[in-house]
Amino acid sequence: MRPGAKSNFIPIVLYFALGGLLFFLDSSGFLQPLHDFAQIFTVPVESRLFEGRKATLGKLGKFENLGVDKDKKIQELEEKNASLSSKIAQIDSLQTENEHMRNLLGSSLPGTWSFTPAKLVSVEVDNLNILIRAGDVMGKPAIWVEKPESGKTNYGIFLGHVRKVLGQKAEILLPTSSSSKITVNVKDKDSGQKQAMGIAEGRGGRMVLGQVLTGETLKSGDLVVTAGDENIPPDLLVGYIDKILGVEKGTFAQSEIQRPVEYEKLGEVFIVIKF
Amino acid sequence: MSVRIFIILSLVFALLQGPFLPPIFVEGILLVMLIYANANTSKMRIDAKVWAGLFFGGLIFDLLQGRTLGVTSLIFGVGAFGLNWRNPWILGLVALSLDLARSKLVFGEFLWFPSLVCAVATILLFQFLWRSSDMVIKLR
Repeated sequence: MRPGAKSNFIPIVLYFALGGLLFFLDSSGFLQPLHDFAQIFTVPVESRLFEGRKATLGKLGKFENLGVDKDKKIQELEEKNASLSSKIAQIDSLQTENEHMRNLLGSSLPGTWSFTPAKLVSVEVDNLNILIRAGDVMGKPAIWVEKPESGKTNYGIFLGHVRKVLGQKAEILLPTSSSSKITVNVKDKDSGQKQAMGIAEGRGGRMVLGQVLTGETLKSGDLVVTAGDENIPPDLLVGYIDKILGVEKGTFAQSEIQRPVEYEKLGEVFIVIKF
Repeated sequence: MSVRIFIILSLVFALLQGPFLPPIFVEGILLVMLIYANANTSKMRIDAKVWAGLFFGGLIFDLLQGRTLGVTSLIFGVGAFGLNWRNPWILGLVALSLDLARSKLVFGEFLWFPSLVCAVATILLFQFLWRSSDMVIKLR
């Protein structure tokens, strides 16, 4: 025992006992009201910080191209500035929401499904934090829909499940999380025909398609969509086949799955209430 | 660093980490700085008020980041209990271990990049800047 350790014994024991007790109480759900109360204050701050981050990254991206032809760049930037100023005057949050709703209507999703929109607050590792408005969203799947393009099937993009609700804030577990496993089908990128089936496993920031029989065809760029079960609706886009990996355990083929969207760029997502 | 400043910095970074910065970042360096600023220089004994500061700092991180209360305090406690060296490289390793432990236990993944940045910052700080305690000993 090191010098002075004896007189330090009581605070250390108290420290770990209290820490353990709090952990137990919170794990059992007794401290949920405390979390709900804290989120009332933190969610608006986090939301503004996240918006600030997106704006900062956008500005940094613009500076990357400066330095070659300054006059031309200045002129371009002035034009962009004027264009952006006029856009800012026109666009407000309702229009954004309206656009997302129109995307949703233009998608290939069944008309019988019902959704509730939720604003993205922040992205933490393999979780999306969203601001929910109303309703019971616990365990429900979350999706995002891209702007429709003519001649192209507009799949809803599967973002994961709501796994935690703290007051107005909810946490979505992304398919890239190491605790995520989804039964999926692989569809040909051109014909849309089913090519294979397997399991999309999260590996911490990336996804791998496994459990695909070696007789089935995997091509780079093919679509990976949900197979559907009682918790996950079918035919939602999980990603695209990227790099084909070696054969696993002699029977199954594997491939990397490319994310269908940069999660940090999403503004609003949809929770599927009924499908 | 006083306990009060540690609490304030915990509050600020708990809000920034996630929406603006990586969810794991400065915890390691904050812990090392707090303990070295307050520990008895010859015995490395940690006062009760520092234990209290660590506990509340951990709680702030958990509460504001929406994590299970007590986890970060327990990680801080283990990290503080293990701090008995003055070598900057070992302190950097402690900061790295603490960040990695928190990232795995709280967020489910090893976040190497921010943890390594924190470790390098700790090494540089204690290698080149942190001379206050040595100077105090000499003056005495």
